[in-house]
Amino acid sequence: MTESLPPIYNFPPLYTCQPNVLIREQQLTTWCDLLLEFSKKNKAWCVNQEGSIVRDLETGDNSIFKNQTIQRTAPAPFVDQIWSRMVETQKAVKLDNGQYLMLWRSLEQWSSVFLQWFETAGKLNQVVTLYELLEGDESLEWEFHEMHHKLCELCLQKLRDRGRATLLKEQNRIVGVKVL
Amino acid sequence: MHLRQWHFVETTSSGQPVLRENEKDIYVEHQVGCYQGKSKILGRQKGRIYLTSQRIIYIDDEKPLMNSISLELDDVLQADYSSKFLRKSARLSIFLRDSKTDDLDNNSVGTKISEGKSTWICPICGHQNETPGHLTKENMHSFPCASCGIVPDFEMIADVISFHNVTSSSESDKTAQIECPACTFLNRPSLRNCEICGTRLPSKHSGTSSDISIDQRVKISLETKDGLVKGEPIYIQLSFRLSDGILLSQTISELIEDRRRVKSQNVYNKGVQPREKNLLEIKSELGRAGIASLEKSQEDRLISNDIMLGNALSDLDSLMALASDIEKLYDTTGRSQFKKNIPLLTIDREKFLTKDLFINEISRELHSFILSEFQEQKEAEGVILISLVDTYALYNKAMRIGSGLVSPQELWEACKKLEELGLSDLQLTTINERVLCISSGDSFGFLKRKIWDIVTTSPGADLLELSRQLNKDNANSWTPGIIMEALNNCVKGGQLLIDEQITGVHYYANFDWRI
Repeated sequence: MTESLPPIYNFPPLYTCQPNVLIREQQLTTWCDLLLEFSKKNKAWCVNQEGSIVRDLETGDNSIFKNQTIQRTAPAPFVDQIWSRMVETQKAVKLDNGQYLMLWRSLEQWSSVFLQWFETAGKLNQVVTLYELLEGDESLEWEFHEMHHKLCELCLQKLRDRGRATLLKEQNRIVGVKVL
Repeated sequence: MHLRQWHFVETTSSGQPVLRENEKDIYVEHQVGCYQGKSKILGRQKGRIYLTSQRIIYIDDEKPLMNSISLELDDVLQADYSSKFLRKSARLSIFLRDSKTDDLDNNSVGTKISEGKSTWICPICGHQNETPGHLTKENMHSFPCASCGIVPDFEMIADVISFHNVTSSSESDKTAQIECPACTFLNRPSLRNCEICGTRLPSKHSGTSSDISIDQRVKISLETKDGLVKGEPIYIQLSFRLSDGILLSQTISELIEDRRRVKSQNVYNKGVQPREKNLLEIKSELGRAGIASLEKSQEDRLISNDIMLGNALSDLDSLMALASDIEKLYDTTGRSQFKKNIPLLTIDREKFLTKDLFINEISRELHSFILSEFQEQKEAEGVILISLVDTYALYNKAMRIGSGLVSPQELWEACKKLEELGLSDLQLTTINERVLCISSGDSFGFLKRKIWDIVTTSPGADLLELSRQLNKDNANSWTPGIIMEALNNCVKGGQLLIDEQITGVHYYANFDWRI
């Protein structure tokens, strides 16, 4: 899973919090880039605090913060610093259960991708369920296929804020959307 | 023209005299000028006088390597002190022995054998015999062969007897080599002190050849005429610009007296102890009359008996001490331990009038100590860098045994003085704004460059590996403490990255994250 990452991933000092402040800033930036690269390559919509990918119900064993090749592990306080940097720079969103949604595209970018799909698929002014949108055959070719529900909701909320979409709710969960 | 008695002195680069074997320093006097006769000697008006057990050494403050001169204590006849008067500073006139009186002394000491020697080969056993005097038929019977003990027939050996004059041959030997009066080692004639034990050699120069003995390395130019007349006693003067110089003059007089006594010891009163000067003098006043005078004389007698007994007891004590000394000597030689006797300046703080002068001397000593201790590193790498803590430990361990230790404060002050004394090839620097070091030139930068080279060629090196690679050629020139400081400095500067593991901190060169 981590094989395709850039070579700096195998650089031992990456796993130690550097004492020099200026260097540390760049180190954190490097980590953020690595995390996004990692999640994009693996379609990891959601990653937990330990750096493992979370899919529907199961949690993977491999953590990005553990490098088996060079036997290095980033210490927990340093991992906290990385995550707070991710959230600060809006490259991740923290969920209530402590997991993180990875944003290798920003929410605005995703919402415009959705809009594009609605237009090309001719689904404007129709009610489309979230299942249809994320799991349906019509979105197979699209990047957002099998997207995390929560992330999708966030993107659709952005559309609603722009006045382009109406959300259908059932028991406080968004189940459908109608794009104008 | 300068006097025969001036000699050249070898000095260290830090301006301290190089002492001979067995030579010990006794006292140091600062701010002294030199005169020959009545005239100032140019270029020798501000310096230090080192009084040692063999010499009076003048070290110039400005050009210690060029202008330093010395006098042998053996050449000194007498020292007269004159105190400060109006603008004239305190002076010590040192009267020197003339070369002719010197020769007289030597002649009386050296015993010459005027007899010849005969050599002959024993016809029985073939042993080569040596017999004093001429061998004739008459006295032949008293010289049997040393090997077989048989007196040979004179006719049989008459052909092989050869006679040669010992005095003539030894005379020619002696012009080539000079025998040391203390250890009998044959020294080269150009030497003035024995090569083995450092004892002053008897000079063999007669009056005519005294010009040759003038040390060509000494160049003295006078301000005016020295006013020395041939036949009159020769003298030089030392002028004390700072102190009154009483201590130095007293010490010199005592030394001269001491040396005279030691010399005469070989001739008479062998092994006597010098008498205490403040011995109670008893005068019997005969002015009184009657019973009072009798009582008084009785008392005096009791006192004198007391003193005599006391003296006898102290003599006994010294005898016992001698015996135990011999016992000790026997013990140590039994274990055959050879201790090298390296002449060292032992700087005693009591010898200095002010703390300032003491610190100056420590500073000089420190300079030469560091340069000699880290000579190898200096030659190999061109730079020296030692932390002050290491210096303190090394210096106190190596130099100060026997004469008290220097405090960290004193050492620090001494290091600060280095520049002031013109010993600027070493200086006190602060690295990482907290660690004091003695360094030469940009040694810290040099070390950092070396570390960078090592880290780029072998990434992930730790402190152990780094110090091993840095000290590849010569052991222990870069201490781990210094390397650690340099590493910290590099990490702080962003050139190096760290990788902290349980096994230790590993260092990597920073190529990816530029500041």
